Amino acid sequence: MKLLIVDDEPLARARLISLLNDHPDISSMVEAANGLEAIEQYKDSQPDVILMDIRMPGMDGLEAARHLAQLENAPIIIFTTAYDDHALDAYDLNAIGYLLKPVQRDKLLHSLATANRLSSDQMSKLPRAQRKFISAQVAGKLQMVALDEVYYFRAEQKYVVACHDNGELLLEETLKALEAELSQRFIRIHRSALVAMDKIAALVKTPSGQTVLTFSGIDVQLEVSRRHLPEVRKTIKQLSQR
Amino acid sequence: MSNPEEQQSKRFFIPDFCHTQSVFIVILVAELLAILLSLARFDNENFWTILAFYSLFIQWVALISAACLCLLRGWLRNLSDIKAGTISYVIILLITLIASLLAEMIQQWIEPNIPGTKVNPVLANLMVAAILAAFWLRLFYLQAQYRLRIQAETEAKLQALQARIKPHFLFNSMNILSSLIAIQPDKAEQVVDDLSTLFRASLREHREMVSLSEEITICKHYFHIESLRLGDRMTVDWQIEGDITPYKVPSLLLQPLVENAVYHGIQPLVEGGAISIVIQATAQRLDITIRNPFDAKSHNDRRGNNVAVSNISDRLALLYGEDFTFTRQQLDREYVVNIQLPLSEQDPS
Repeated sequence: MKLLIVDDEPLARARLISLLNDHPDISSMVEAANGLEAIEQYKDSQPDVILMDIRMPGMDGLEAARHLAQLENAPIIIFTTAYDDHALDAYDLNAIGYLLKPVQRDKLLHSLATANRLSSDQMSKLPRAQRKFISAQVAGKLQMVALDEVYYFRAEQKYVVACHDNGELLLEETLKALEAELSQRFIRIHRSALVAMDKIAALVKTPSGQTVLTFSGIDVQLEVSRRHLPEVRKTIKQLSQR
Repeated sequence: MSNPEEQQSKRFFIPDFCHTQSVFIVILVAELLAILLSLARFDNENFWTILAFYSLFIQWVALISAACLCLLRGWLRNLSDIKAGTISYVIILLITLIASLLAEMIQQWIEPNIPGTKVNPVLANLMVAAILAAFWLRLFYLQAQYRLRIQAETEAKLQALQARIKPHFLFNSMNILSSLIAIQPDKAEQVVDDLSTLFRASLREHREMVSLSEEITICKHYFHIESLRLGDRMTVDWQIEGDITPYKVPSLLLQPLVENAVYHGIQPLVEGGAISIVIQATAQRLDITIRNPFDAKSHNDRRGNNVAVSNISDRLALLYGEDFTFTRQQLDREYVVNIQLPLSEQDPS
């Protein structure tokens, strides 16, 4: 059994390693210090089980788990967490099970012996509101893009395409779900387009009478539908006042 | 882009005269004053008449004053204590003046033949009002100060206790210990030492002044625990210039601030960063600046921190009056806290 230990605190990782060092079934242990590193490490070492801390800087454990769960042979994830006042109340952690830190040896061994992959029902209980990255499986590998780098999402027949700094990513999510989740930072400008507010440059009227939206950073124009125009105008006005 | 936080919590010292209870007390006090003044006349035959006149006049002035202060309360409370106090004082005197002039006119109208007494009654009324109003305002002010002080001290104590027994600090420390005991027992011992120093400091009387170097030691113990937890993500840079030995500071002045720097500054950053603490001591003044990297984006929770900050500001105000500055600035990627204190005359014992 190959193990990936994810925790931002080196001592917490050291403790888990020392607890499992003499475990006969474990062939290797690798470490990562945050969610994003965990995903990178996962690609390299293909662990069977991930011990994942929940609170980490950058990408937290819950978001990393959500991205990893898209993979066909997703790893088994066991969450670990320290007591952390109300920060974790919002998550229904009982649905997925977790180990409290400092992790006790018997409990850890027990979870390793009994852990299963998260069911899709459990996955749906992981928080959806706070992710910082979008991800998709590309040729069997997980491709990650930071939301900060996304200009817009465009709905195509079957997929949603995310246009970002370094190209495009095909997502298996609906534009509607993305809009609901990302409404703080993205605005719908058309039935088929969701745009990052901080990337908007201007609204331009074309000679043919259409209104299009331009971006700072890329040379793309997207049509703004008449239905969404008032809302878009209002948002741009608010943004310029900030 | 700077955004200095203004955090002067306003507590107005003049009682709220809009309350029925306060109005009742005003009536009671006014009546007592009337009785007192009537008794002072030593005139047994006309006592009740005199009392009636005094009551009428004093109640009149007192209730109108109370009504004015009630109406102006919303405006007055936004002014500084000195301005609000002065304006209230002037209002009371004006009302007394008008009331006295009116009373004089009425009296002249009813009994025009009585010759004026030796002392101008308007002036006498004004004098009484001036003395009493000054006395009451001062009393209200002292009472409010006293209440403020008790409140700040209680809060500070409670908060310091919670700060140490704050669940995440406690559990983080336990995690560190449980890891270290197996891997590096000698370091574990050191953490126990750090923890007991911190607990001892937080259980100390809160009015207590400690030497600045002692406070620095406490911060270093705290940093030691956190550096074990955060590994090489956190570096701390101390710069101490000048002679700090004469300086005493309130106990746990800096520690909550460096704790904020760790929890809100370093911890949310993947790459971590450096906390810089610069202390400059001259013969008269102490200047302390704490800087930490700060990423507003990765940040959504600042609640706990403001409690500590406003408490420190309250304690400094009690100790140094106006003679200190305490500023916090959130810059683009940095958070800067600055404290300037005079050389304190206060003796801790």
